[in-house]
Amino acid sequence: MSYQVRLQNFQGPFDLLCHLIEKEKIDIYDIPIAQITKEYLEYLAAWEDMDIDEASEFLLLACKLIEIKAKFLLPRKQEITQEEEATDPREELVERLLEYKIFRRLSALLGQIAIEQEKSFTRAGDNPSDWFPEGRPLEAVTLTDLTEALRAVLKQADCPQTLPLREKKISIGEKIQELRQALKRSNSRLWFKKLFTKTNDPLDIIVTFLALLELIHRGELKAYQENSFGDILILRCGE
Amino acid sequence: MITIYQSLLALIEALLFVSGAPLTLEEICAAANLPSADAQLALQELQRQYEGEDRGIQLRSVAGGYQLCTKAEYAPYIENLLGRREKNILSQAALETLAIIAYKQPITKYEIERIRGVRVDSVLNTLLEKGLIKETGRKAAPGRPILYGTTKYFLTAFGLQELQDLPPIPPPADS
Repeated sequence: MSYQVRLQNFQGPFDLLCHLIEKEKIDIYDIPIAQITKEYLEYLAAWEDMDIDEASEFLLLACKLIEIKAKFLLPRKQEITQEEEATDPREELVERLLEYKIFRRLSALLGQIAIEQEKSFTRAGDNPSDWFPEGRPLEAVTLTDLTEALRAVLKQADCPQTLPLREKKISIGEKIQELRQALKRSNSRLWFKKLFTKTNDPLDIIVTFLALLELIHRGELKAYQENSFGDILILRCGE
Repeated sequence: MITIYQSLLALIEALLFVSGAPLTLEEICAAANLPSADAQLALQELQRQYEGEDRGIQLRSVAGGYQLCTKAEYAPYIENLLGRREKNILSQAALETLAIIAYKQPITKYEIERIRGVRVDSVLNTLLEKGLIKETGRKAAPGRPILYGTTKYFLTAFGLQELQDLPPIPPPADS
């Protein structure tokens, strides 16, 4: 058990399996599935801080190995058809391993070529036409062009040049004072809808409404409504 | 006649010098206003001349074109000059994925993952960023998955004239 070998150093489950097969000098066409499954699982067991995202692919192959092992353990039917007899449960795995090994070998060859190629230097700066097949996208565009374009877009979007900074916050207390004065000015009677014509600031509307409720609650005001959905008349008590 | 021929070599050398990427024969002919037979002869002669031991540059045929590059034996000195560059060596995962794409293109992500037994999303992104692979279309299969293939730059980076110049696929027993 080579506990020093970290699983993360393998390129994937096939890489690990190939490593085990090569280490034990096993004939790939006749893999002792019980032995190799045991060794494979030992590697997984030694994986400290197993991250399930990283491990899932290794676990998938572990399942496959166990499945194959189980197939070997199961008693075979007596009357085996010829077709069934021909299939070895390991066949698909061996095919995939062989294909993987071919590409592992080829990748090593490509790696060697790459190292050789690194020794030959070409002129810096590749052909721009390679990067921009339709010509240089910003050729003949100046900074002024860009700022002009931005200005035009902003104008079209009708963005206000300045944005109001909202700092004013009205308290219910202030609003109560306002309402009292408004009532004084209007002979102690006000129409509900009129209270909200001056503003469309949601906060202002809410505070006005709360101030109104507060004054009714205190018994300073009364509200009358003639019919459903009609306007509400607000009167000062004692008038 | 000799002087005309010599100036032809000089002209083609000038064109090759300004281009970092390989120039195709057609590009050279168009720029130099030459029949391709003449350009080809001149390129062969240039290639022969650069082979001389008194030259540090070689003219290589790569990615279906011609490119000037330094001779490999001077790499250590060039590195002294440029400083030890960050080597552009690909990771094992990237090389495996690149090998599969190079030999099996056009190929989908799923087919690559089936061979490697691991997910290849991030590796594909790396290879796309490096310009070694590109999307070549979509497979006529459910979900119309993207097909990947190698780029012209891949040929240049690996010093290949065309895909057929890739190392032959080894027999399974030998791998």
